[in-house]
Amino acid sequence: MAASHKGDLCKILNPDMNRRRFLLISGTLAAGATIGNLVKPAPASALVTGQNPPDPTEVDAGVQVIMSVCQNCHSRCGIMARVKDGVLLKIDGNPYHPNNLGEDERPSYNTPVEEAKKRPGRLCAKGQAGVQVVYDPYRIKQPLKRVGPRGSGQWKAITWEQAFEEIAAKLKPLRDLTTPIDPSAPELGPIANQVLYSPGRTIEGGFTDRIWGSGFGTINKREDHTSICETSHHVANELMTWDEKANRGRKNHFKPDILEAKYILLFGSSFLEANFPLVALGRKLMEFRAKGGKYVVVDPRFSNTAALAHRWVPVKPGSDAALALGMARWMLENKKYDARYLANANQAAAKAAGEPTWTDAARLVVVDPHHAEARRYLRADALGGKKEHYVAWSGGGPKEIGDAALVGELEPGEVTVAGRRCKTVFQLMKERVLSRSLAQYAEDCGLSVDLIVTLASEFAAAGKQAVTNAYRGLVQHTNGVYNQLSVNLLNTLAGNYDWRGGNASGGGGYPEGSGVTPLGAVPGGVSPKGIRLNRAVKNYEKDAPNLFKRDGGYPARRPWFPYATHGNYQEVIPSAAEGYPYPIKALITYWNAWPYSTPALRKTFEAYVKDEKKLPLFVAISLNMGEVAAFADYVLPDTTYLEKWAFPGMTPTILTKATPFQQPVVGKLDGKDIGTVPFNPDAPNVYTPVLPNTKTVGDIHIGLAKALGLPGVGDKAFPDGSPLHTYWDYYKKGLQNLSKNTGKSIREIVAKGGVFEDAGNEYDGKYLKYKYGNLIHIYIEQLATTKDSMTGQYFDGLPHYEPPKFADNTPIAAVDEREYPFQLITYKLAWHAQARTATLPWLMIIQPENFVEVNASDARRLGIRDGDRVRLISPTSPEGAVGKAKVTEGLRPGVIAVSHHFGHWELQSKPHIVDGVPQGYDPSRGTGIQINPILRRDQFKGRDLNGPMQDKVGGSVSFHDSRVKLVKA
Amino acid sequence: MTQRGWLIDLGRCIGCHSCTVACKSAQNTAPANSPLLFKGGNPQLPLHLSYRWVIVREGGTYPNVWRTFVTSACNHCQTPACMNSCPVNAISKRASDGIVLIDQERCIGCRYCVWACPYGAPQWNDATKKVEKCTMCVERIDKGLQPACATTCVGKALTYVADFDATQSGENAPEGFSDPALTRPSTRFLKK
Repeated sequence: MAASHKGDLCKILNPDMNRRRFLLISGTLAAGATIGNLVKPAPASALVTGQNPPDPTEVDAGVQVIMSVCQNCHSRCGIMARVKDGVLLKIDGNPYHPNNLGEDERPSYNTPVEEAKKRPGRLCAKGQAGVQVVYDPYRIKQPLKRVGPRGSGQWKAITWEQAFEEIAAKLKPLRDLTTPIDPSAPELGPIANQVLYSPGRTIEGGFTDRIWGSGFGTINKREDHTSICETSHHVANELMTWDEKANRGRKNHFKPDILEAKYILLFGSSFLEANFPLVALGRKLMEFRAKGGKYVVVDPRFSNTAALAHRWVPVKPGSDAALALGMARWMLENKKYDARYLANANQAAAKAAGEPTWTDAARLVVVDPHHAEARRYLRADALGGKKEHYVAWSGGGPKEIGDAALVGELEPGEVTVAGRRCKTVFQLMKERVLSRSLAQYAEDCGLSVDLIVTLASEFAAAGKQAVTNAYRGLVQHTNGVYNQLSVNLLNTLAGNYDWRGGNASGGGGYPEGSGVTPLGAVPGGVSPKGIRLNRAVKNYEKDAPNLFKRDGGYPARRPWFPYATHGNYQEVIPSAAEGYPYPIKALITYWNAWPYSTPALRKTFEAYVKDEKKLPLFVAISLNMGEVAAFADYVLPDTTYLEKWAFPGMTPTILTKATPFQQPVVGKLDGKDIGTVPFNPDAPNVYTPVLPNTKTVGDIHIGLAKALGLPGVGDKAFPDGSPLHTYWDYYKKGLQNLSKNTGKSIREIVAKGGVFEDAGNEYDGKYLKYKYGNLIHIYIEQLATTKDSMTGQYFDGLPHYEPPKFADNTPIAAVDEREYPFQLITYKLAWHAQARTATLPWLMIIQPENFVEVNASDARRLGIRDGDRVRLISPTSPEGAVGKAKVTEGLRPGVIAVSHHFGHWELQSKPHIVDGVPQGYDPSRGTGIQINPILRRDQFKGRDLNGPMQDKVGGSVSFHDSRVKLVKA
Repeated sequence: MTQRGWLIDLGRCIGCHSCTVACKSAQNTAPANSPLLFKGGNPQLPLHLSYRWVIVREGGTYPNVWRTFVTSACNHCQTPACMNSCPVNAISKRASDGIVLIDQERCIGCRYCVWACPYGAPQWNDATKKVEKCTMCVERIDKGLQPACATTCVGKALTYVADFDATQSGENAPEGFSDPALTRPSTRFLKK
């Protein structure tokens, strides 16, 4: 170990180096800006303190509480930050926020803060560790410019003015809104599209769209992370709730009404670990359990959620759809579905039957493969009715589904209507589900017929209080959308949407985007045109006719994603590297950890961004010297989530309305420590962060946009002629809107951290108060009539099981299984989130490293013992990755599990150099193993696609389909 | 005499460690910064203090496996072994509410209490050469607030009991919990 390393370790581990000490250090760096804060709070009592005094409490004199919103994972729980004299002491839950306290313990919104603060809300380990996000001694403290080759770790400090001027000078020539990138394929759009903005995590999309979309004019205005989270879950739900008039999905996320449900079946959705919001899900699931509710966990790994479950079902990874459809088969054969609900063909029939929602089960579909309308719902114009109406079979004949109540027959058999052979959706679904036997389904998912029948009968017995829920374990496979549609089918057979104890779409929020000032309106702004680099929501044949012709039609060079309504994060870099469908010239990232967080991307990413000819400009907005920032030309340090504004939104777990407000909890407003003077919405509120030479992500964007002379910032940035000079200017308008829409004052909203409907408003009798109240599709006409860009074949319109496949539809196992006997899956811990929490000592101390988890019988066979160094090798990563083995009984044999969060190779786990001086670092941030870089790259008929395997329908990346072999290292 | 105590619902602890971190944050226990040492390239936990922690136990054979979580801290016993073991009377039990505290001025770092306690509550601090432990957040309790861990428990497994019934000491204790007859801990459990 080098001497300087020891010196650093000594400094890191110096017991005095607590967060108050950090202020001294950072204050020195910041030229005395925070020296005034260094009043060490006096111990409460010498008798009881340990080495350090406990924090002053929320009721002590001089202590203030600031309500805001956590972003140490994506749950966006409310937080109550305790501050004193400008020092952030402790983070608790915001008692008003419905994530943080149950319906039985949450104070009414009218309760004064002085009273409510005495019972802090509940908050998880990640949220509380936010203190260490702010006081991380190794954060980037000023803008940096690269001085060595990309990725060499050599930087010089520059001013913000220099950074904005230099970056703007390089971006300006690219703001060409008229010249096509490729004259032979003008549909790709103008040269401005060659600038791409990619936030990994963002809750400020509305704001940054103003800069990159309306301002700069690139169609690549926001390529965020959702496809490496759970996109195919969102997409499947949108397809299920598709609004045929508006041509978009109505809802992307449902959650069980946990407290009133009787039976919950979780597919790859760990309510007590990674699924979110943990604080609400964990509380509710334990209440549910205490009341006698039964939940089942379908997961190859014995998760903490499984540990408290009624049953653990160790399914074969990626085959959950087979289990769901096996259950559906039993329910269909034994008539254990709500036939009355399914027969309601429209809203009027549903209403008469006391059902808030209705389905397409009774609709007719044209099944004659040679008919021009093949695979489409039969339209009523075939009967002389309205073209926008559909048709059901009722009373022995076809009936137009209009406004009058209509109950259809579910199984009239094949019928002919106006020369078209048709079947009902229900009939098609049933035939499809019954096309495989229970034994075949059991074989597909690696479970027994008995277990499938037991689960189906338990589920059916709970009626409308039986609910399935799924997340990334189910959908981060190449068959993600169909897995989700199959699991959703069980909810549809139960008819549980909008019922008390059924499937909930959540209370939603109060609008803040308009009311006084429309936040999205940009005078002089432009509408970006063309095709996104990742081909999201574009159809190869229809939307790119010139390119389609030029490239000889099917297959496309890389997949297109006509229904990827939440983008495609993993496809950006491989596409840019290949220049398909066009090369880009500038990349701007924010809170992005592409090569760390994305499967099979590291090699492609590093090779691409190292080449300045291919990528002339690379700017990273980043808190840390992470895996992306390390390769940038400029690193612009933004503030933490505890030092910015936003309207972060809610999840459907919460059944009442809420619009939380995120605001800085520490730092200075107009030169005064936050909390030391009452908040004044009419003051300029110029914000100085804890590290005064960092800026909020919004102020960075405003500075850059001003240097570029873009519309939408500066004087007259809004339609009413008002300016946008600071990030606060924008959120002040948002607060004015929210205040007008709710009747609450801005001061009250800011003091309470948002607007929250009181508990007690969850239900409307036997229904949920806030309803989806609309159509549920079983059949997905959009998919049935859209071609797969890689095969030229139509996608499937029905839920079904298919094994995980490459882009050419070859099953992965068929190619890889023999040489690579294990299937590798990933998971997340309850006290970590994604790529960001390895910097937090309070969390790293719980479990200092992660493991390669192997089933005990597999380990015995291979002679592997706990603690052995083992290497995981995949077909596209012969060098593999090395980790420490952990032998467990809690894992399906043939499966290897490795948690996320560990094994960083940057993130200040090693030093970088600024102005010739090595910066402090902490090797503990690099402990353990990250298996994303070794996951399998996709292939098309043997051609390496240079990027991860993915779901061609939803756009999800595959996290759980790679085959590996395991050898001793 | 009033006795403060804990009620732990074993069916509701989800192993999330929110209580662990609440305690570390509220009490500023060491180390407050990056925790790992490296020895021969392998990470190693430094001496660290956690006044509250989660005990995870597991067993069984695939697919019939089990895992349990129990949040754990000082039980502020009615007859504290730590107090009885202390040669310098640094450990006291508050007359008003039975909270057991270590006086850092008097502690000589002999660690007898570390050995005496059947629950692992007193912990050695290598920097101060003294022993520390859970104070039940007396600075909070004395102001009418609840201990940091209890306010934050996600599964509602951990409840602070202001008036603990001494006759319920150790009720429904999970396997591995030391015999309550030894020190009469001010903790009771609800079965899983």
